[in-house]
Amino acid sequence: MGIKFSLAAVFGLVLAAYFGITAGGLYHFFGVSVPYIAFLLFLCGVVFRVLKWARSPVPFRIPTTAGQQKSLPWIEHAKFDNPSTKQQTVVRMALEVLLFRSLFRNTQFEASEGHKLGYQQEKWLWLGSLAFHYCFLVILIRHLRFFMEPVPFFIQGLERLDGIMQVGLPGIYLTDIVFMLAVTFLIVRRFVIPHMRYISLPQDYFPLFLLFAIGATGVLTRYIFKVDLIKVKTLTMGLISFHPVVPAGIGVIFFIHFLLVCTLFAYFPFSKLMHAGGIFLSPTRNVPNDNRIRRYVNPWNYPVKVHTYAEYEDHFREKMVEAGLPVEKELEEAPSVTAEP
Amino acid sequence: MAKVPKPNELELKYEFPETGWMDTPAVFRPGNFSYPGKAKNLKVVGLPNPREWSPADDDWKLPPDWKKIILEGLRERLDKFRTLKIFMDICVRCGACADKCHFYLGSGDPKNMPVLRAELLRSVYRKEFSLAGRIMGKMVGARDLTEDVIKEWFMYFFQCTECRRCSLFCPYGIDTAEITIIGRELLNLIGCNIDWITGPVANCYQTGNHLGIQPHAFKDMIDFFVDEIEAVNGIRIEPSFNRKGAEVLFVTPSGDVFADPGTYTLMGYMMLFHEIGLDYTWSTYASEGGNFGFFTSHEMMKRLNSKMYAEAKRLGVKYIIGGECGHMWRVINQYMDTVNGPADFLEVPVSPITGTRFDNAASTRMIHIVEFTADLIKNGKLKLDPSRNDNLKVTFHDSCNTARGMGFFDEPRYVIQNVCNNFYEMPPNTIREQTFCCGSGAGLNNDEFMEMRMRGGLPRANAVRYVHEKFGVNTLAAICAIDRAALPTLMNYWVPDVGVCGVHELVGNALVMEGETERTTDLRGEPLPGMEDNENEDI
Amino acid sequence: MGIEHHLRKRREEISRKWFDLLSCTYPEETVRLFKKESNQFANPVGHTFEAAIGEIVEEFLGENRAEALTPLLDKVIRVRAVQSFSPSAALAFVFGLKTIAEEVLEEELAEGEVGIGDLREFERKVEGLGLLAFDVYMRCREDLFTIKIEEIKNNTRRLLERARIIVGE
Repeated sequence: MGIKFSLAAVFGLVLAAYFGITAGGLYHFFGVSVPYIAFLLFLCGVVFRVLKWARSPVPFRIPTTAGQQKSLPWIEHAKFDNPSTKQQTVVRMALEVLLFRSLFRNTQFEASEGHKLGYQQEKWLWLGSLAFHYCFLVILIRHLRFFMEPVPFFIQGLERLDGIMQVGLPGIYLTDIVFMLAVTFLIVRRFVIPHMRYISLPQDYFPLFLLFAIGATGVLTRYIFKVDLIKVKTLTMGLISFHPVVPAGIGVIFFIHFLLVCTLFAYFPFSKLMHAGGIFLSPTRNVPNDNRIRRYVNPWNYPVKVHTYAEYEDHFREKMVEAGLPVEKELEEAPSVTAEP
Repeated sequence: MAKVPKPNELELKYEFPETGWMDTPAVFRPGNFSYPGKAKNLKVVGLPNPREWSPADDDWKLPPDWKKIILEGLRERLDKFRTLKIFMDICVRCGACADKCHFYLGSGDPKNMPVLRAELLRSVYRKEFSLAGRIMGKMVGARDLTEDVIKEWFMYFFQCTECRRCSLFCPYGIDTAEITIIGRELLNLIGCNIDWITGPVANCYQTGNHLGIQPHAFKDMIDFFVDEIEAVNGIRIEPSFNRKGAEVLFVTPSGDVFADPGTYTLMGYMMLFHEIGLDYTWSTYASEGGNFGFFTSHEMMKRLNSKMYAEAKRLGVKYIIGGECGHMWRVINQYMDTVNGPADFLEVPVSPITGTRFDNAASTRMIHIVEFTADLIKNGKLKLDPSRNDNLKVTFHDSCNTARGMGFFDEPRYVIQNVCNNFYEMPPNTIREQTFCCGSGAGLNNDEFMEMRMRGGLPRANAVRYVHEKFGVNTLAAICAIDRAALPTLMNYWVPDVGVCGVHELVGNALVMEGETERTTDLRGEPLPGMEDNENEDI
Repeated sequence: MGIEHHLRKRREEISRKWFDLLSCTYPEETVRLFKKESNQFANPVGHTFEAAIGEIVEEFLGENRAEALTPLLDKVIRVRAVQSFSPSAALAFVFGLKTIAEEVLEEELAEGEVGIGDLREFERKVEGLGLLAFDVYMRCREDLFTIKIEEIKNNTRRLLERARIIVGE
């Protein structure tokens, strides 16, 4: 059900753009209104989401410790798996965000095992998601060329590096290939692994289908239909300079690609894709394990009802005296409240 | 039910329900749930909706406005805990956690996959706190809060030992223990809790310890061990209780005082303190290190934990030493100073024997006995004869809480390796931060839950069996009172030839004390290696 | 000798089929874990089953000694005795061997190399294995009850001892 629904949603988007342009001629709507709305939603949505998270305080410091704590000086401290200072925590976070340390942890064991590979599937998960995220990043940066004039040197450098294989015309980018493979992998594992199928929801399939469609239409735009990029750039430069124009003669495939990208942006803040921001705020990772060293203050710590020593002694005084345990008030000074047997 | 199984039933496949997990209700049958909390215990600590009920009943006697209570409770906690809010939002269901849960590995029940355990709560969160969930319902994994959902929560939040193994592998650090803790908090709001937790909570609150042992009896028990130790090595120890002006307050889980084999660990502490001449006192008021309040709610954890600092202040000690315990140390390490501090009436712990300043406890001012002992050994202050433990081949079980809530790995290993000659590690993906739970933590070590515990403990037992078969390991050491209570049972079922002990029992065996008579037995009264012939002497 | 001789040649196939049959009694995604995860510590149940099934087949088709089979059956049944199975469901897998034998020997039966009488004889042996499995299952359950009692006693052993001393003296 989830698969069909998500697939239908993505198809619907493609058809909407196709008929909107070819039959409806809604160039301005798909070329100008949609991107502005999408970007606004993205920006406001992300800010709103992060503020919403940040509004809830972090009452306790509960890092998941993944290595030896800072202890006696002669015991080796696992600084980055169990950080005790802010700097060490930054390194831990960097390992987490840049290298997906926790996912990688899965793969540690079998390296020393020698014979059969354990954790095979998770190793691929780590590799697949790392490939996916980095390709996505490179592709995103490459696309900045549509929003900058002149195109900065680093983007040109990146493009050269990415197109190093020099196959076909225009040259095929490595990241395009890897991106498509990685997305396919992420989709397929949700299809074929029973427990993945069991836990997956439509909101897990939808972004994957969307990303796949974005990749596919992007590839079509560039390699097959060879959309006039000069005109596209006129459009995009117009958008960011707030003087939007839609030049005639941009192929419909571009508008499909563009609508899908806008959908991704608009959808982003309202979905699990916000894990990108959430990880920075995750309290089991982003704080040092230094509670015993520095006191951590809970902003809403409130007084609770406790059983005080005085109440306790009142309750047990007679027995305590009899057993020779020291008491604060001797029997005769205290009102006689004795414990039931 | 009572039909004759036909041979073709073998072909029956146990397939997934077509409808998915949301429509598969929890079925309670003996062995898969813990008995409910008793009304009288709930009343002692003022927990809501005290009543007599059973999870196996259809009617759970929930308060009429239970739904409102739960939803308001959830809203309140979303506003108070960033953890909860983030964990509700960012899971991508990547599946990395699925096969990390010992209950899942042992039972194969899909709802024991950490991701689904959290989805039980997340689905309600989506329905009530997100627009998409309200409009699209099941399409986006949202569902109504019904009594069946409550029953499902009860089953699976009390089928999680809060061990945090899944959290270690989660790329976003989503911590199922945190979700379970808050899930249990919500359940407690409408009086759904288990006896094995509420009983100890009520006892601990009123009397000071889980078993509800009154002050005179507590002293009596410690005195009993004085006799036991004297029988072993002729040394008479003189413990003190509730003594003002002592340098150190010592707090250990009460399991060490009443339950074997924790008692031998306790004898180890007493011998060690006596030998180094530590100026310490026991407290009958703060006579419990464990904190089952932590398995009830954050508030209850604070209420029970308050006794440690309060007693330290009243007695005017300089700092506190804590015994070997798992969740007690997670509370001390990650919560105590925050909830009941600052401990400005105490001093930064300095070992009176070695002069070592424990800067890693500069604020909390409470140190773990194992780090204290490790420091003594490192500085050569103890006379040890590890050959007295030569009959033992030891492996070490990292307790979940000290492992993933603290990072306490090398201190116990250092101590063990100095008091034993035969130490073997279990395979690397079952120890240290990747350690498997005993299957009985977080208040689940009750006997009616035995089958689940045996399933949950299977991954741990399996690793023990491996070192048992490979190296002949016969002793499993642990620094946790629940481990010492639960692992012997687990071993009895899965690897019957392996015994369980605390680290300080091994210390007590190896410790050469000043003026001791010739030792012929260990703390359990069994002959030391090489002394087997002397057994005819009386004990 | 006839039928065992044929079956022994196919013991790997038999073990695989028997393991599959045993796995079928678990939810699908769990089966994946049992079969795919080769690390014995990450997959204790699947690993135990796979290893034990092979050994049981070996012994059963070989010398078929009760004292050797008991500890092997124990490995599998000890796990199933604490999972949510009724006793019949926990042990049904044993009788699956009959069907498997018939499947595996389809050709030989058709060609008359193995007679129906041989098959009946083999089925009686399987029934014997079933009875043995029943003993093992009961022992596991008895262990479970015993350790329950032991644990309850243990939790308060020192208190009881102390109380007895006080009363006794």
